[in-house]
Amino acid sequence: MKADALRGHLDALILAVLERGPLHGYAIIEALAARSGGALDLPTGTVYPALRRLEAAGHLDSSWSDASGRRRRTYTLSRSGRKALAAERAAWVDFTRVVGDVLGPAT
Amino acid sequence: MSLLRVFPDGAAPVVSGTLGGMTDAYLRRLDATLAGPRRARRDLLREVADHLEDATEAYVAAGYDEPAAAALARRDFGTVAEVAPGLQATLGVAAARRSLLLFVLACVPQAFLWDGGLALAQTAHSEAPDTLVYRLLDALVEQGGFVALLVAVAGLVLTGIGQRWVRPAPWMLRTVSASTLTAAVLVIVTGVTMTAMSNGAEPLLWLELALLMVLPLALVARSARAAYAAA
Repeated sequence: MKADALRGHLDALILAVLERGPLHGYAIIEALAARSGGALDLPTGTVYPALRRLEAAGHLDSSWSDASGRRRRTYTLSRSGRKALAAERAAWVDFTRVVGDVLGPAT
Repeated sequence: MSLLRVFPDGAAPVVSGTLGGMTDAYLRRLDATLAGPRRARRDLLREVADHLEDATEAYVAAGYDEPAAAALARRDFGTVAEVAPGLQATLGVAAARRSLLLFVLACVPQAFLWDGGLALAQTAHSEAPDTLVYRLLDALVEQGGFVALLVAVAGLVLTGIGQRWVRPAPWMLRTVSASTLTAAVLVIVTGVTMTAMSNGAEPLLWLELALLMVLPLALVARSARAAYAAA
């Protein structure tokens, strides 16, 4: 899946990946790749601006911490991030239902 | 393996190993492309360096030799041309926020310093002239300054939690920065003009004006100019 198709959804995907616990940037990208079965194909460098934007919006908190013996900037989902994720999920369910109804085979 | 290091003084990340020369060059190109607050830029570059280090290690663990692993890590990350606009956007927001915050910090104490509170102008035996121009300038600096402060606070909200709803476009950041620059210069010019028009303004008053108004707002103007360039 190309970057263009992901436009508008990357923020929600990042929030979903961080729902399971704090991760640093590379681990977030690994988790995105793993959970999509490797289908997400985007320059990994485009994830970092999204992380900063989500942090500025208050959806993520970040701090420098030790990960595997190294200092890494680690991101955590905030309370507002959890709410935003829930809203994104609800919107996605609505979207897929509506589009599915239209795209589904004629009966 | 630890290929990448970032100098604590904010210089570009450098490679401490012997196999990361291309990655070092990549990071230096990225550093040269980005503009914005030094600390934010350093932080961002350090995170990029950490990412490339982790990605390189993962490819090495998968069986690639280090130069090939580093090349694959860079390829996955994207070319400088691909990733720089996104990274620059975050720095543009950071630069605009910094200049707005400086503006608020520089302007909030002004009313306390000159009119109420310390009333430095009166302390220095200066007397406000009873002229229309002076009264207009006084109204401009008080009411215009208040409006500018409100706009600056709104700008801080827009570039902070406002990003939940609106993604600040470069033109928005340029408008914010140009407005901040204009407001800072206007406050300086108005303050200096009013002091020059005052009766009996002593050297002490000029010194206070220079230190408490002109200098902080000149720093704001410089920061806003840099933020305009970073947007």
